[in-house]
Amino acid sequence: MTVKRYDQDGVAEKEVQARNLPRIDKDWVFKARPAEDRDDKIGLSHSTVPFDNPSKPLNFTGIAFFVPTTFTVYLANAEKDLTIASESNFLTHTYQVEIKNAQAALRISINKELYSNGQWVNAYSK
Amino acid sequence: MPQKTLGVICALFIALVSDGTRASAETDADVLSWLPQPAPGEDLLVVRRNAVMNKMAEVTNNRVTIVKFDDDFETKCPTLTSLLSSAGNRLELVTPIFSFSTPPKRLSIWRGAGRRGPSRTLSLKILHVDMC
Repeated sequence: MTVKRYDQDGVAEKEVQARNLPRIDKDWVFKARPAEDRDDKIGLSHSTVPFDNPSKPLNFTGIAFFVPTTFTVYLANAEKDLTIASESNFLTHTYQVEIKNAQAALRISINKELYSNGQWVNAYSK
Repeated sequence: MPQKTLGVICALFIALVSDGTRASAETDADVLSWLPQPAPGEDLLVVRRNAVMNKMAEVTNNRVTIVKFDDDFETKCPTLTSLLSSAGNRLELVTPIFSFSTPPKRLSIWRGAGRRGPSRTLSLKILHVDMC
């Protein structure tokens, strides 16, 4: 899942860069941790993406659900002109959720991968 | 945030983390009385999630979108729930990490910038492990 933010001025669109984020190690390999560790994992995980001075407001509060077959986004505190839509992109083999108003847009791109024989394989299905 | 909306969000998390056991009659009456009980053979979490989502859609004018990765069959796999908010210059994702201690329902999350994409693009990796 990746997130991108845009400012819109009429038909023109400008990407708002996120500030530097730590990279996932390029040599990172999936290894399931021991069951005891996972079972003790209770708490809050908090991820923040700070953007570099977006000029247009995009305010909402929502809830996202991740399950193996679907990804669902509900907006709970949204202004009247805010819209939300999703689509599948055959060319990039990804699924996209777009939250936008007349001035700004947030695009969430999601792809599902399966781990098989030591490799991640894209599981795009339609 | 309107008080009604905030109340629904709070009820959502309470509903989803509840295992269905009743701490007290008062608690159920105040917060969970509108949640349905699962019919025989139905999964408690799925039934309550759907009820809460319907309530959310009701108070938010159906501002909802669902991305289907595959056939939308009901699943007993763990559901990862996050609060998502955008304000000012930041996007935030707050995820309660619960213990899914009953095998094979387990999941893990890794976060950071994508190793393939630009260094300033958030990438989340959500792994469902040993399940389904």
